[in-house]
Amino acid sequence: MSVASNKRKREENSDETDMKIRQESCLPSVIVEEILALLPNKPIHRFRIVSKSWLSLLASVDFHKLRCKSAPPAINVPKLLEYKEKFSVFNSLEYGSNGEIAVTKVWYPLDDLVSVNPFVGSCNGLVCLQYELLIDNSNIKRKREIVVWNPFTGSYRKLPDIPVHGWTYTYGFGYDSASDDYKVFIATGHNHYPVPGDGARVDIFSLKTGSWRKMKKLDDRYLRCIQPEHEGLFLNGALHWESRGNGSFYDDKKIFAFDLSTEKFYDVPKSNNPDCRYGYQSLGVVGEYLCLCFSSYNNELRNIVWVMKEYCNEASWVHFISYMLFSLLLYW
Amino acid sequence: MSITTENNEKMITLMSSDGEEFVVEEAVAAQSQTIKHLIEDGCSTEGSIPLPNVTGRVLSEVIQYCKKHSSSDDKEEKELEAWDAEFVKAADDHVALTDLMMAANFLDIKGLLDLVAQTLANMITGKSPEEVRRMWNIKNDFTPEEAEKVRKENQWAFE
Repeated sequence: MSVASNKRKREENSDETDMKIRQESCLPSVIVEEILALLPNKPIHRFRIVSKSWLSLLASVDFHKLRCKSAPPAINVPKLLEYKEKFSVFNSLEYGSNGEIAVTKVWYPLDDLVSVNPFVGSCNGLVCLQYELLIDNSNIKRKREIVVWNPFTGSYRKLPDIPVHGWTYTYGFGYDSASDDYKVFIATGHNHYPVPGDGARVDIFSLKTGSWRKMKKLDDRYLRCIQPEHEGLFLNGALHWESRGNGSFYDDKKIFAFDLSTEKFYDVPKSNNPDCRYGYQSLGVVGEYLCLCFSSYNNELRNIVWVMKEYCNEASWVHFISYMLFSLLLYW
Repeated sequence: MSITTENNEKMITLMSSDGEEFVVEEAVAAQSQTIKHLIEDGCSTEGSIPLPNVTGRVLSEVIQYCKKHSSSDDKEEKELEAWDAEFVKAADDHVALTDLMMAANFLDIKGLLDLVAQTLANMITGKSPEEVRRMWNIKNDFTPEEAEKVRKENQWAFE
């Protein structure tokens, strides 16, 4: 038999074998994974409907890890997270090289969340979310859940049930470098906002031990000041809040913090400059600095931002930026 | 069986699942980590190396890729990229590409695996789930209710 005819025969045979293998076993999962890991977000979600095995693959944490390894890291490290309640969708917002904001959907492993504002806080690339689960279909019974999620790897951890019920005054999430541990802070009580005798308490979750712990010694003075619905801002190993004010313009609100290592509250000094002391203000974090944003009306509505350049140094508060609000409207 | 060529290059014989033999330089064959390890373990000293998972048709394509990539270390990257693009284009359709990818996976040739995976990924990016099922003979094992639930949860991806 000539080499050529021999080869042709083999080709026919091999084609038959190929067909047979394909019909029987289709694709090995390792091959499927390699291909799908290279896809953009949209087809990854669309192809969940291909088959049950594809669904479990595409929704798995391991797959997401593989995906992060395959794709350029810039695509996957969320810089800013946006949450669209209507679609339960998390988007990562990034400035592209063309100056436009690139919006990429971030895969979130728990699709069943019902929450208006799920963000508790974030640090070191971990995001802490809270949401409510409907316990039954009556739309009345709800269970509050907290999740620590790494949008980069897709891995997450559902925290065990919060051991208290009642109103949640505030949450916080941060890193304690002394014990190399991430902690979730939650203050709860029996009233809408903290008042004496409402049984207010603070529970702290340690990611290391995996359990909740009620704080025994609690400085009531600080807890009473907490403004409900304002999450603690993480900076410098501590969570920061602004005290609940009386709503007046000359209200001298306090800034206080909770150290995640010592688990004690302390005061954060404000500037002596009246411009950085009074007014309608809100606390924030800009980069590595604590900041205060004031809204003022002096012929025009302005936002004025001050930052504390050196942590806990009251003399280090400096004016950072002012910008006009609704300037176009006011010119009319 | 190992033969030595004029320029002292050690030759290796590879045998496909359907009995076809390919004599290639060791440096070319060693682009495959699987073959490299087999050579290191002394499997190539007697007779040829059998590759029970790869047909002759696919193996000849793989060898073509390995030859190109073992000889063009110093060449311009751009030229190699262009060659790769032509190479996967010649593989024609998803069936041939899938075979090639399975071979690359078995033979552990990372460059080829990545190249073919990317080609297939590009191929299916815009496809519907139904088209993907047809491509690879995947059985839709969802009940209509289950399928509806999954579709609902991922509705935005269908728009």
